[in-house]
Amino acid sequence: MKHGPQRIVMMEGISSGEHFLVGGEIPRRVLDDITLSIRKAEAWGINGTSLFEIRLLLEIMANIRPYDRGKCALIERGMMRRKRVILRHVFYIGSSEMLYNNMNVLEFLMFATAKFKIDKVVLQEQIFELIITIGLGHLSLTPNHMLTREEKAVITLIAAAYSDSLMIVFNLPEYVWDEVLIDAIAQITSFIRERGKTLIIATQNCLLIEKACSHTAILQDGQLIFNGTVEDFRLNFDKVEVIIRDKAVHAVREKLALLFPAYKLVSKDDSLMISSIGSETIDHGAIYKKILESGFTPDSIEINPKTVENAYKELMRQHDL
Amino acid sequence: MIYKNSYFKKELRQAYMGNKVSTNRKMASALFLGLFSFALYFVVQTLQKSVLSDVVPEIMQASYFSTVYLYIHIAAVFNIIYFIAYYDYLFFSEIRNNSWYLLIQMGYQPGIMFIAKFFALMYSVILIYSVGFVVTIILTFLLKYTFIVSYLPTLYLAGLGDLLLITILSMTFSLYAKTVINGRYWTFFSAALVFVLKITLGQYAIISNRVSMQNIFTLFDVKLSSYWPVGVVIMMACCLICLFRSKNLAKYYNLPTDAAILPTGMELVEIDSKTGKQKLIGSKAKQGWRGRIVDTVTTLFLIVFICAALAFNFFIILINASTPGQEVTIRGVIPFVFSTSTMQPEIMINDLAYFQKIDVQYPIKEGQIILFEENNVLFVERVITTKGNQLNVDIDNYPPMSQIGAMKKTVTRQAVHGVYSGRNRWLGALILFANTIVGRLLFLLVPAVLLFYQGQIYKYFKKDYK
Repeated sequence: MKHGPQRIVMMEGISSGEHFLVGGEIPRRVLDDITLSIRKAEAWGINGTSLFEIRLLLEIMANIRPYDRGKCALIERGMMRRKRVILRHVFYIGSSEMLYNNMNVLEFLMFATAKFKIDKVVLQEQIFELIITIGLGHLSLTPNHMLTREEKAVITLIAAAYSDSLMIVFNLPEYVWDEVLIDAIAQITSFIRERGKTLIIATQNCLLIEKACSHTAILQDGQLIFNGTVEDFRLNFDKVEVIIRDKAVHAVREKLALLFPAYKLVSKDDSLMISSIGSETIDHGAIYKKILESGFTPDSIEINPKTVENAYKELMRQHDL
Repeated sequence: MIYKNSYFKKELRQAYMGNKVSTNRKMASALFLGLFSFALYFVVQTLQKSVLSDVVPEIMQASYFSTVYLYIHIAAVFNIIYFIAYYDYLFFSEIRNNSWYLLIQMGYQPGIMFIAKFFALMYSVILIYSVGFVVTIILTFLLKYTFIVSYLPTLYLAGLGDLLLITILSMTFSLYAKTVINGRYWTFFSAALVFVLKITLGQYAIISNRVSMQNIFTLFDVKLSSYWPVGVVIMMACCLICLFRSKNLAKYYNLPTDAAILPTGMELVEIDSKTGKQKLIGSKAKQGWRGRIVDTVTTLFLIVFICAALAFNFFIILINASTPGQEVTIRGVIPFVFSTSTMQPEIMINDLAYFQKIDVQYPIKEGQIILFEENNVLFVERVITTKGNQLNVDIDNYPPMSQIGAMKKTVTRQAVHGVYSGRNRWLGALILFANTIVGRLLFLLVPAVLLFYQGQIYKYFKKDYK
């Protein structure tokens, strides 16, 4: 694995043959001029405004659908001319119907991994431990037909994690993830990355990207408006530095605005968010001191932990402008 | 517990959660089939004096042949229902669900999976059929009929051949059906195809003959019927098609529909960059019309079936309520279930005879069959001679040992209620059946259950469509 291919996906100027058509308007490519490079053992979260765009990008990436223009290479091997064909190095998950409903979760995973040349007792122990570690121990003996589609998808992801495929494409952008499943996916992602594999997740859930992914790419109107590490994305686009919570926050907003002319103040419900405008380093201690000196003692003041969700909103706001 | 399932074992389980449960269910099904055939045999016996004795004498006889003959047909019907109900577990819809995709990625071989699936299904079909066959024979043994072994192997093979043919045809069609609901239709179509083949190739004429079935080679006599050679060719062809088609399908990931995630109000077109031609490949607005058709068809079918069953019940109650002087008439016709053999062969026992209601002015001719009342009892006899207002009548058929001419009567014209205008033998048999306990249950209970569970039925069909 150490000397295996490093570049898992190389997309250069990819444009889809599919176009959106609204009324009598000029058709717009669903994806246009996408350039993306994904490396080994990375976990990517692909987000965007349109579910269809996200799904199509991952389908092209996994050799499920053809593209019209550009170049794409998988695992440094180029791209197959025949689409949808099974590739040993790509494990594509595009639905949660792959499981057998007449088995329970542990049984299915044992069945899926039955061809591995490992002692079955050891293997079952490993799988069972993994299920417990990722926080889905309560599902281990649940019949598959009683699982939600999201739970089924996570079980499929576990099977994929055990496969020999170097690249796993988890293309279910329309699925709604709760915190338990997000944590489970995050744990599975670590397991996948430890084994030197790459995971690409299509989702509109920012928390999932934040917890599970090392990199993210954002699509808007068929174009990639950001791609890079989740860390960069959070730090560069989530401009909120300090969040003040108090019932009387609206009353002191004007006063605080005078105190912080170089910041942008936005109030929402009982919160006031102080955001930086430039890119210079912010001294949170100085902000805190200035607020207290003004004589206003809010219920709470917290340094914004910088979330993917805020960064995403800010990015979208910038692009809408 | 350590899970060590092979693909073959998994296939043997079919729709059930465990191997042991599955085996128990199969045995229970076989027992049920034997008991059901035996029970049906008794129901059929209640229709002994009806058109059925002339049309299907092979199921009306007091012999092992009739019970086993019924069994092989019941087994076929049961298997079709089982295949339709558990279609997604038994056939190749798992390839469409990409379950094979996952397994292939995990190191499974599609060719071996096909062989395992094929033999597991065939084994299950043969097991249930064979056990049920034995159960039927054991139950018939209680009736103390003469036990003739010679036609049992022939009947066993005849039934088994049909089942295997239906199974392999359903398997083959399932590789071409893109949705589960279509696959279910195709399964039904496979059974219909086998039935039509049996009729057109003369197989029914052979298996209905108790004497010829005593020789097992009659079944394979090409001069009598080419059903078996044709069946074997179809089976072999289907096996090959299944093997190659399943392997070929399993090479590809099956793309689910994108309709749910298409933006509202937008159409998706594919534009050929060389020619500039546009091809519509998806639209949210168009989604759902098939679902609406399924809903409408299901609703219509339920309404028609429930109404027909209730109307039929009403009709039977009306006929049973007929009394002399107060006969039920439907558009001037008096329906009358004829329960004697006195007018054979013109009107057979248990036929539904129709009598045209007449008034006193209607000219009755000699040779006509009339419905008349005497001492508050209704009679049906043929007019021999007419003399003014007096009609001399007699029955056509005197039962053996009875005195010829004993039923000769002279009736007045006023006593005549109707003139015979026709009969329906099948409707007569149906009324006879409807008056049995099983018939009552079927015609009253089934519509009631359908009415009660209509919501669940809709849901079932909707789920299938999805």
